[in-house]
Amino acid sequence: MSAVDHLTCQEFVEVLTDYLECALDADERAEIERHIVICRGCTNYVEQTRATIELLGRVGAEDDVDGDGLLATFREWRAGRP
Amino acid sequence: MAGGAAVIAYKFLRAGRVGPFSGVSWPAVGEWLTATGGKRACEGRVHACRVEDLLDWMDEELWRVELDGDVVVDRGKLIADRGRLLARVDVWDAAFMARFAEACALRARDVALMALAPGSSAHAALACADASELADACGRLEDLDAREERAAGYAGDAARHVLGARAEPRTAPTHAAVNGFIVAHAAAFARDDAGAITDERARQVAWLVRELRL
Repeated sequence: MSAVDHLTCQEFVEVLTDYLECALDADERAEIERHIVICRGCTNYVEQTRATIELLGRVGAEDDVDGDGLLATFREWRAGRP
Repeated sequence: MAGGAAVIAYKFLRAGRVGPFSGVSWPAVGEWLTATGGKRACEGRVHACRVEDLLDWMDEELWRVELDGDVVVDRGKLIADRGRLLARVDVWDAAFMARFAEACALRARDVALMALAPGSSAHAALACADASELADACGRLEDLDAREERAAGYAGDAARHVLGARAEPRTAPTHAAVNGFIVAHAAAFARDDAGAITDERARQVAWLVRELRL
């Protein structure tokens, strides 16, 4: 019978990276997944994190931002601050 | 169960026969999904539940499955070399999940009544017949001591989850699973006995087996 001994959301967030990188053992992984079942907030968080990782994984070298342009924009913005 | 006969079990999936954690699409009924294997814990095994595991894994679709090959009983689940869908448990839908959530909420009400002084206004207020009334009643309670407040709080939370399941059917699995969790802890609190959690979970499993005719 289930012990109903679940992680808290804070504990979940602390080990989420390890979960997504498959660095947890089977029992730890099961605890994470039991938490996902009962917590809509953490479910959304996992989905958003996965989506972010997927998007970042698609960013190639050709997608690099213009670093000099970005710095110039930042300096202009900073110079305009009171 | 290694190398033994095929095992009949259950599997919760997201809509469209998708594994909730792996994202794997299960093949059509009768076709085997074979474990791909892997060195890491998350890689490529087929997972399913016994009836006593159902409470932990609720999701949009419930299927009766057959497992084959090396089938291992792990804590809260079964792990197998391969599995196939046999038939969907059609009774399991958002309305059913809301009904389970309400059964839990009404049980949380009964548990709360045990913690409230008989004859008190709070005790009378919680004598509700459904989740909507219970949510309203719990929201109007005043002048409770800490123990009464916590007991009524569990009931009120459970009642609101029922309303949530009804309002947004897509979220019904979460609301149903949470209510099972809430009422188990409410009972442990009311009885001041952690063993009540196991008793309540057994009661919930029995409810599911009966209502789903498993």
